[in-house]
Amino acid sequence: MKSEIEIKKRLSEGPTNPFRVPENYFEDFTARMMSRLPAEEGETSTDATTPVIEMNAHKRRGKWMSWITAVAAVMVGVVIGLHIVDNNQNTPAPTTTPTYASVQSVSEEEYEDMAEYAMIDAGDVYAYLSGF
Amino acid sequence: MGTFNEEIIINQLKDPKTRRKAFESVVGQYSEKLYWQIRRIVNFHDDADDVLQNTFLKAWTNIDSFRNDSKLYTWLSRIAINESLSYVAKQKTNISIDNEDINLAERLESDNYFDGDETAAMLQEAVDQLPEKQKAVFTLKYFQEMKYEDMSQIFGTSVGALKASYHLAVKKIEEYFNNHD
Repeated sequence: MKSEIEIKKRLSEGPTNPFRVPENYFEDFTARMMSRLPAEEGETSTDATTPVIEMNAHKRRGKWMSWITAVAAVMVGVVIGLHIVDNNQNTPAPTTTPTYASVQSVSEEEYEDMAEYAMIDAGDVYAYLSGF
Repeated sequence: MGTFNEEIIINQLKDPKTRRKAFESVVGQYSEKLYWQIRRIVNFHDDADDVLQNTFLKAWTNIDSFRNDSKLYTWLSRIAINESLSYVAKQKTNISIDNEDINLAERLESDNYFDGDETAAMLQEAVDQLPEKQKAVFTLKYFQEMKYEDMSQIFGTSVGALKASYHLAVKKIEEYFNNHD
């Protein structure tokens, strides 16, 4: 039967610590950690405004995808809603099916209203298009 | 980085004006020690990195609950142990069917950040089989060589109970080695 000492002895024949870390991991960790701390109330430090724990790429992607899906769902809902309201106001119903022109008839102002309703702005769209 | 005076640092942590700077010193002082404690429980670097960040984040948001009746490192260790154990528990429930048949020793031996031999991998696997508290006790005592008195503060358990827990863990590890030799 192997005792703890025997196991220790066997381990001592190999490296004391079998684990390694990426180069400069400990040297860089403090700065990385500090940049991720949330700001305290009343604190003005600019590097303290991101209360986000570092996430692996797949987790980050998942978070953005659900956000984008939610916004897209709201947008689709608003467009369909406006389209139905528009159709109801133009009674009697047209004999032709809705065309691209009828969708185009939504004015820029209405799109702005929709964007405002969905709480997104151009910055969000650019952030999404640029990949983050 | 200058010398680390725990008493001064604790006073600075209490003052919102000096808190962030003091916390930076704490991270610099203890991150490596805590990392190894965490790594022995979660085994893989990416996981240890996540848990270490969670540990400091939790310490930062709960800094007001730190009391002077324990050392800073003891307090941080307690958070790190709890974070590591809950991380591993969550991971075990999420393990995919594909990975179920691959044992820990095999996964470690194919990991780029693991240099150990078969025995070292097997020891990690044996530790991984232990119940949560025994795993934490064994890790702190055997790998970190922590005193029972300090461990007693971390776990809020008597020294006698910790000794019993450690010896039980050692026995189970010996059995594991015997059964797999």
